[in-house]
Amino acid sequence: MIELKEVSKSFQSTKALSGINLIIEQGERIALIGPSGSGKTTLLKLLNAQHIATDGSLKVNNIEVAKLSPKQLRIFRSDIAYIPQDLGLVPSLKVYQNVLLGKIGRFRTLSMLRKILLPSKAELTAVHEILERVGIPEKLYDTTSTLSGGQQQRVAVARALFQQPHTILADEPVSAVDPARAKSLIKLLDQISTENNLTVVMSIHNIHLAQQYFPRVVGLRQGILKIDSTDPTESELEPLFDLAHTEEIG
Amino acid sequence: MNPTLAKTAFGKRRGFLLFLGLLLFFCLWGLDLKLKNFGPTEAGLNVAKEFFSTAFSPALDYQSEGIPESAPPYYKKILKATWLTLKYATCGISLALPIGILMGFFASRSWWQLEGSRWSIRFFIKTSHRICKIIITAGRSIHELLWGILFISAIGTNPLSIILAIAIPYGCTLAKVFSELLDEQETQCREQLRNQGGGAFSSWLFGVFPLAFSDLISYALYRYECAIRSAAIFGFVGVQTIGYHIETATADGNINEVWTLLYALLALILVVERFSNFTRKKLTASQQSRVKSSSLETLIKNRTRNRYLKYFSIAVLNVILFSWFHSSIFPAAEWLNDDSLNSRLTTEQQWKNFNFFIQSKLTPAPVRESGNWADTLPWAKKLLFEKGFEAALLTFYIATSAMIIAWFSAIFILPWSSRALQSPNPFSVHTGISKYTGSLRYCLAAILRLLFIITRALPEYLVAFLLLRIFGTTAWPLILGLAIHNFGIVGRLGGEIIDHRDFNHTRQQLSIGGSRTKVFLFSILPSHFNRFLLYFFYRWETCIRDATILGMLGISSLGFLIDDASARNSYDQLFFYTLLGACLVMIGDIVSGIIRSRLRAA
Repeated sequence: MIELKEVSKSFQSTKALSGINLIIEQGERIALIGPSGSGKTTLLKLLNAQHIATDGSLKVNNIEVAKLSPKQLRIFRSDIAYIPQDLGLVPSLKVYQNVLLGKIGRFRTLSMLRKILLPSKAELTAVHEILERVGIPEKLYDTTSTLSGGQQQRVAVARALFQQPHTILADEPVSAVDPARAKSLIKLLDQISTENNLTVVMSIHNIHLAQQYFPRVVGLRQGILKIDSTDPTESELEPLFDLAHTEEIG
Repeated sequence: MNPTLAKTAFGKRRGFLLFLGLLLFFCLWGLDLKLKNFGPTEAGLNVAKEFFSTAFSPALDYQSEGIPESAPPYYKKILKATWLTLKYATCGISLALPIGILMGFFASRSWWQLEGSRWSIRFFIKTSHRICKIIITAGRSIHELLWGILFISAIGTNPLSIILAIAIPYGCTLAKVFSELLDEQETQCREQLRNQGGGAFSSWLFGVFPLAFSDLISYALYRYECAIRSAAIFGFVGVQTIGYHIETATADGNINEVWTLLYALLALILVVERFSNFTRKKLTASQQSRVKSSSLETLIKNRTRNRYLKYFSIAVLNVILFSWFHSSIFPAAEWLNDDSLNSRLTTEQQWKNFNFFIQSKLTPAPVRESGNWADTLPWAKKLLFEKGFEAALLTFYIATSAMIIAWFSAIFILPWSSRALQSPNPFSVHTGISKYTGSLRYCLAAILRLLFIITRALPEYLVAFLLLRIFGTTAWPLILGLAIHNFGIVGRLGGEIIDHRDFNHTRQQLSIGGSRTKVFLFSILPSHFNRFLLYFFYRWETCIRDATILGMLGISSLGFLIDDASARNSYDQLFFYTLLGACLVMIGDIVSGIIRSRLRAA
């Protein structure tokens, strides 16, 4: 369970998030929506402990994230998969190597080096099974940079799954693909998270996709939580993106 | 016109170009050189005619009469000189590589993860970083030839002296460039791996190192090519590499033999250069499976493997082992040993010599007499103001004027040598030129690119040495020697910018009727001006370093004073002028570093 109490985050004089209260139960699937600059990425980075809240408390499974030592932090992060907007894949490595790197937080450097350079049959089988689930098993030995944008997204998802996390955080993973691919990727994550009881928090721009595929929608605007609903209507969500309203507020 | 607008219209770029032009004239004035005196003397003209007329008839046998019968066949002499050049370069670079890798890692910030770490760890990392940077700058600011003179003076004429002389400055240069290459990589992958729980080192190892890998290999091979040039130059201090034979053949007037040796050196460097290009292509080649099956067994069975890295590593290891131990591995290869350096001193004797050199010979003469170290300052002041300062200034003038000439010449040639611009359809825009004109353009571009390769391959010291006989004892041969070599390097680097980048604006200008020259001037040059300037400063700092030794050819500058001190066995003065040269290089390094980092950020 993830619990945020009055969480705020400032960058020098800019307040990115303000007084966020949120409880996310294990296995929930949440769409995080809001216009650019509303604080979605900051919130996801707080959940991954890339940033520490300026005020308030953030607990994951009753552990206060701000108090973790560097070693504990690495262990904490190895249980949370984070898919950034640019996917963070190493382009010159092969697909299976990028997927194996999902467990970088669980193994020592030398052990990881052995896996990357000389993977065992069992490790390759595990990677292959995951690639099958995301629909690109034949790309196992391809160099990652040769893959299309959609295929690279699938590799990023595969890496997240190989990590065997309890939570997947995805920062606008479908912003750069066509609607069909976006739907297919969200469906895939939906299916996988249901099967494995994974928590998914995904930031997304498209209101319709959020309503259609996510049981719960959280809306942010100018760093403030405006909507937290299991069945939001379009009329509730649209004002979040209303430029006139932004100017009025700004 | 509004004064602000007028200022903007004049532009920083044009202002900088004008500044370079004025600086060139100032440097030439400082060197007391007049453009009307530029050109060969009458005797020099005859030498030039004789020299170039024999270019196509290199010697295949000894030119001199009365060669003793016991002398080895001529081809064996050339083979041995070529081998010794390669051997010293290989041994030197094989020691330089571990130094470069280790210090390059500590001099890089790409693996740092200071947030949340203890202050003691932060202190250790930052201190080791600073120390590494200082050692790297100091090590590379003294030219390998000067290191050679110092080591030969300290431990005697031993192959180890030459190998160390190459290994130290090359190790430091490798470390500097390795650290820069690592720092320049994108950080997203590393950050992503850290976000998954990866430690600082493992996130760097899997998120930064693979991105820089091909660049690191490529640069190491480029340094190998430079090491071959340096090893050849060691011939001028008595080591029997190609440079030694060029010097003796020139002194004996055996010009055909000089050409044979030049061709051998050129061939050696070009083979390494081509091998380096081939390696880079192989290492960066992406792999895509042609198998459509999704079965794991089929995929494993049919996976495309890039075995090049494996073969490359085995080949490199063999070459290194053979260079170090060829006589032990193949006793028949004993004849390839360097006769000039086989003094075979024991380690104990070498260590004794070294201690004696450090403790007595390097000590300033007045201190040796009085035993008072306070006498150092007046001694140093005297050396600095009598000759040192002027020599340092002349060295600066030679380096700067050479670099400006090289840079302008290369930029001028670039549009004609570019593969992309001189193609019948530049940047895929149809131009309608005939096949004949297209072929002519293609040939011209190919010839100019070959010119870049050849001028880059020739060591500046060697070119200056040959030009001295044509131009006489002025600073022009030194300037031209440096300029010719750097012309090749800037031309090559500039060509890579034009030929390997996508220029939408260039295509647009061509599509509305712009000529090749116009698109170069108004699209390519402005959009990559900073990159061209970056190359200027990158080479300028190297030019200063190289200019410190060119004076050893007999022209008054720091190198001349160093050579003179060495001839008089005044090792204290030799060391002082070497340090002065190092200071000049360090100043150049710092100025260039600041400007380059600003250009990168701009």
